[in-house]
Amino acid sequence: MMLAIALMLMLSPNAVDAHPAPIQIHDAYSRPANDMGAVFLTIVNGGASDDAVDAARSDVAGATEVHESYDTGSGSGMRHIPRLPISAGQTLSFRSGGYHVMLIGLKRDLRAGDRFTIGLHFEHAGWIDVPVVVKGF
Amino acid sequence: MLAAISAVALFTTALPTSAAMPAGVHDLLGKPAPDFHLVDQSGKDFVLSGLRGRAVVLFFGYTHCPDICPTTLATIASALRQLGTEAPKKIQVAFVTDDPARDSPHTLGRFTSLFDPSFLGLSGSAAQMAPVYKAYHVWFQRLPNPGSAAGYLLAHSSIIYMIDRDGTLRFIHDWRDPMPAIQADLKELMT
Repeated sequence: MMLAIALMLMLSPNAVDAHPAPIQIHDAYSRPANDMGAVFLTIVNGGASDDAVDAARSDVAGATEVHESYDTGSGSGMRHIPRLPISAGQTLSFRSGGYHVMLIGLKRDLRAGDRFTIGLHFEHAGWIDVPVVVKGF
Repeated sequence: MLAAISAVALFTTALPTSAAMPAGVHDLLGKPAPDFHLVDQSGKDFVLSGLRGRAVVLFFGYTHCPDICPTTLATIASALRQLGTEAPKKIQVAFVTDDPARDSPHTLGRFTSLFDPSFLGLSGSAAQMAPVYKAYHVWFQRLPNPGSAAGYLLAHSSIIYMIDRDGTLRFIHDWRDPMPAIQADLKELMT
């Protein structure tokens, strides 16, 4: 059993990957919130292949989805983005007023200074966990 | 004059965002801010003109808003904190709901207290809210948001209204205006 686990660990992509991860995610932060929250971050696709975010997860919210705020001409609208492509070499910034990872039905209040983790799933790169800090500003 | 400069500045330095202002908002500048009567997060009556002598900052939004409302309230809270301990005494910030069906006084209080305990969360019945939205040219629309677990969302105008201590609507800002520009006008309200 122990041997099987050791073998699985050795064979898992994270354990044997000698190359830099093609997808890198950094500068993830959130705002104080108590029902709906949003995470902003930067994704860099440093690989040679196109990829796409097609799922998100977190343990602080009932559901986690990628959304986009957009200008309606009279104000700000928002829509769910089930699949967000990111081309090879592209840097995609999730910023207030644009893309964000939406935390729906928060299980606890997010207060300035809190830290938590979310995961983004990529069609090719798989799940990537991202540490998030809650910033008052 | 300052109001005029501010309005010009909005058009010259924030072109991408000024387009998002509903028609009529700029006409409010320099005039008495429309008075209204709502309830605050503790269920107490709130009358705008009752705050005469203190400046008031109004922002209309909803507590299920994950992006623009928290960002704007965090910006205002941070700008005020940097202006010193006198700022909250001289300026009252009030978040007014666009979503009275879901935003009870309690819900609003939980939300606004995350940014600053002095912030008010205002709501009322549909009949009470309607003339307030009309007077301030507040625009919003329910988005059904299919395929999402979030329930309905709102598209909404996202304007910061700044009312001086005499009750005149002195400045307006789009939520995306840079913090120093917002802070400069908050400072002006304190003088």
